[in-house]
Amino acid sequence: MNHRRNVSLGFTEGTVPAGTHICQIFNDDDERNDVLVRFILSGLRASERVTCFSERANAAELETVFTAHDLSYAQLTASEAFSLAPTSKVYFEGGQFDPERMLERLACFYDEGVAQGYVGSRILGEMIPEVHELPGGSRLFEYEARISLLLQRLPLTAVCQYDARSFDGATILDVLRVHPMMLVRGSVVHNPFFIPPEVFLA
Amino acid sequence: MTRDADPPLQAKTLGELLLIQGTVALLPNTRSILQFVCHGLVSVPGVDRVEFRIGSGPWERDDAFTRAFALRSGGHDHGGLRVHCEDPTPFLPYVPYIENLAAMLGVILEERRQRELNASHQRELEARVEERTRQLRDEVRDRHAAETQALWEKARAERYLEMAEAIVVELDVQGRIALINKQGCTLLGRTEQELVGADWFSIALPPEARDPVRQVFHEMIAGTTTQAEYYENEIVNHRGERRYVTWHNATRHDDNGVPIGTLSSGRDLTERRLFEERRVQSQKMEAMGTLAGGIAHDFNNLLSAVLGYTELSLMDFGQTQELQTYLQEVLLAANRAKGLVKQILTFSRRSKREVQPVLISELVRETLGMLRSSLPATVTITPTLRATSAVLSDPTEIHQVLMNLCTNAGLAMEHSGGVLGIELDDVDVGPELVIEHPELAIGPHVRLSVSDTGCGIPSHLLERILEPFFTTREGDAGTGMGLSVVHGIVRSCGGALTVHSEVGVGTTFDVYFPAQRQAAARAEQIQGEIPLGTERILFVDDEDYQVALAEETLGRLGYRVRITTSSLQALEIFQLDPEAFDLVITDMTMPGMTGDRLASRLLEIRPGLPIILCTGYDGRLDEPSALALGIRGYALKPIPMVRLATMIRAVLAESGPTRL
Repeated sequence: MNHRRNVSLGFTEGTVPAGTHICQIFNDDDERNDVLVRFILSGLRASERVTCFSERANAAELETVFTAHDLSYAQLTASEAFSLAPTSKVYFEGGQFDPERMLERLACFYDEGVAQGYVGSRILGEMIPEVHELPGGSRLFEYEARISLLLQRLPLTAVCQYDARSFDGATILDVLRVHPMMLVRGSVVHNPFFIPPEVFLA
Repeated sequence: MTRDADPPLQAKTLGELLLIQGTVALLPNTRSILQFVCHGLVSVPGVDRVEFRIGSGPWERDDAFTRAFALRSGGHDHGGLRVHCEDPTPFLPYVPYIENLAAMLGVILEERRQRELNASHQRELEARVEERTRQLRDEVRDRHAAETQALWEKARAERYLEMAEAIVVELDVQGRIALINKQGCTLLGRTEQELVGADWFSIALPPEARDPVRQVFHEMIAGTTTQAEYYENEIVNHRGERRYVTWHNATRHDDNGVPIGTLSSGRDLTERRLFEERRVQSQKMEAMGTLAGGIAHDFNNLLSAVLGYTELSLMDFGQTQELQTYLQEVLLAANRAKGLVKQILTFSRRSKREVQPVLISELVRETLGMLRSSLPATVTITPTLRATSAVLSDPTEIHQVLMNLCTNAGLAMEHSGGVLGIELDDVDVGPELVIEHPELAIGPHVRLSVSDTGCGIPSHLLERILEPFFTTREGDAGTGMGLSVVHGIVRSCGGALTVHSEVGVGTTFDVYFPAQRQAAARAEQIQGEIPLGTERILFVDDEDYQVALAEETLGRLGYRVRITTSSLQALEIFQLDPEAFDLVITDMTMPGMTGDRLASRLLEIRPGLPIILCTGYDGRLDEPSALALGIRGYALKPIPMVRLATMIRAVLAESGPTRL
């Protein structure tokens, strides 16, 4: 891995190298929203290209937040510096979960950002339990592991949000196994359960 | 499970255990937590699989490859973890950490249990509060609805009370008025404020009724009488006027059955009783009318004889001044008797009005003598008769007006004495008086004023004095009809009656009659001339003295008379020679054939025959009916000579030239 610039995540002190793959296990909507807003604002302030896949995020609320931070939601979305889409629309396009398509999409998102001159790109995605019910849903952890592989190649900083109230305990632990870093009590720490993707996918 | 030597602890595994401890709190329930932990513990070296149990229960004993960890806290067994090892050796160093993790899980689960318990209690409490709040809200709503309903019912009951035709009175046990409706207040002429709280017996009953009614009231309260459910008594209003009320009474009791008063509803029967009295009076009048009608014929026939022979006597012996005076008095008295019979018939509505020009001054003069004898000596009569105009009326009715007004005036001065003024004037009625009395017409009138210097009439009674049966005299002293009859007669003449009275000063009644100035001369003529004739008359009457008088009277007037006391014989006489008579005069009521039937037969024989029908009284045939039969003249007995002579001439003149 080449030397990567450090980026601020917004929701924790200190910085992490660009391209870090982090998971947040939460059981409180405010906790989730706080991370989401801080991560997005931090990226936009750093002139990164930001995209957010969330079922809960609301454009109007975000516009209010942006305005409070002297950011123009209209301009940012018009220039594609920021984009917002529901999880189900992005991840479950065509009624199935297709890891390859998602990985391609992420790679394109990064490449376009580079092409448009952004200093970096970041993505926040909240997974929802419906994934298990869709074709391809069993490949969720494979997908997460392959993101870790993708991020070794592309410095695309990613935060994955999982609601502990929506997934069972075993799934949550499996989520931990495919994320190298995790957010614990406001700090980003190395995840001892993490299994390197090469091993996990082997 | 044994341990030969402590294997080295791996930092990664310790980190995992720490991460499990740091993460489990995020998981929502016991099952999810234990799933998470079991899944994480599989990463511990030497572990094959991990199972969990929720809650207390049997658990197999540990062996070399199995290790159980209880999840206890606060004396509560939340479950357990059982680790199955494929190689216990690398596992054993982690046992204390896992025990620590299990203890921590026990605390977390106990804390959650407590929290859930608290939450459950909170929810239960909130549910109970919410339920109680809902109940209270419902109770408040129901109470409000009940109060609203009660208020509505009360308002409706009050409306009914106010609208009720009946008097509703509620008394407490002391007999004080607790409630009285509008009708009750109206009847007593007092306000609700005046009445509520007042003693019913003192404020609403006449003195003589207080004790007996109070006695009945106390018996009702004591429950010693059941006879008072329906009761009738008089009540008295604020002016002292009495009303007769019939009551329906009920005793009111409280919830314990203790009497707390009475509730009474009453109906004012005063008008009904008055109506009953009037009906009885009317029946009496009817009976009187029948009686009067029955005797009138005979009485009038008797008077005819008295009048007729008196007139003949005057003709024969009128030269003697003294005898003439006596006979004039007899004539006057007989005429008064005739008038009295007519008054009786008028009063019983059986007589026919004989409208003619009347000089009231003459009538007043005739009446003065009669009045003088009927009034106390302390009353002085002062007639002032200036009017010269006649009025168109029935002389008997004018006489009755005069008598009634003068009698009332005399009664007003009965105890104190005074002056009875009778004034007669020609007046011109102007617009001012017509505005006040629209029944009058502008123009010449004769005003008869009858005044007294008696006690006067209180102003509040003035408006009622013309009502039939209204009287201020007690007992049988008055019928209450006098002024009512006067009023009726005056109105039938197109006149008006006014009254001015001042208590302690006196009363004046002014009667206005439309004047008939042109008729005055005719009235005088009627009273002065006796026309004569020479025609042939057949006179029929079943009374001997009547035919004898007629023969004498008509002969004196120049007529050739054939008399008969039988109507059947009269018919035979006429049939023998229908052309032998120029006029037939017949009585009405006769045996064998009545006068009207005789007339009909005669007219069949000789159409156009002049016939005069005379009657003392017969309700079966009035003047229009007689004229409709072809009869030319209709006369009520007794018939003064002048009137008979005048009528004969008029009938014969109408029939054309007579055969002599």
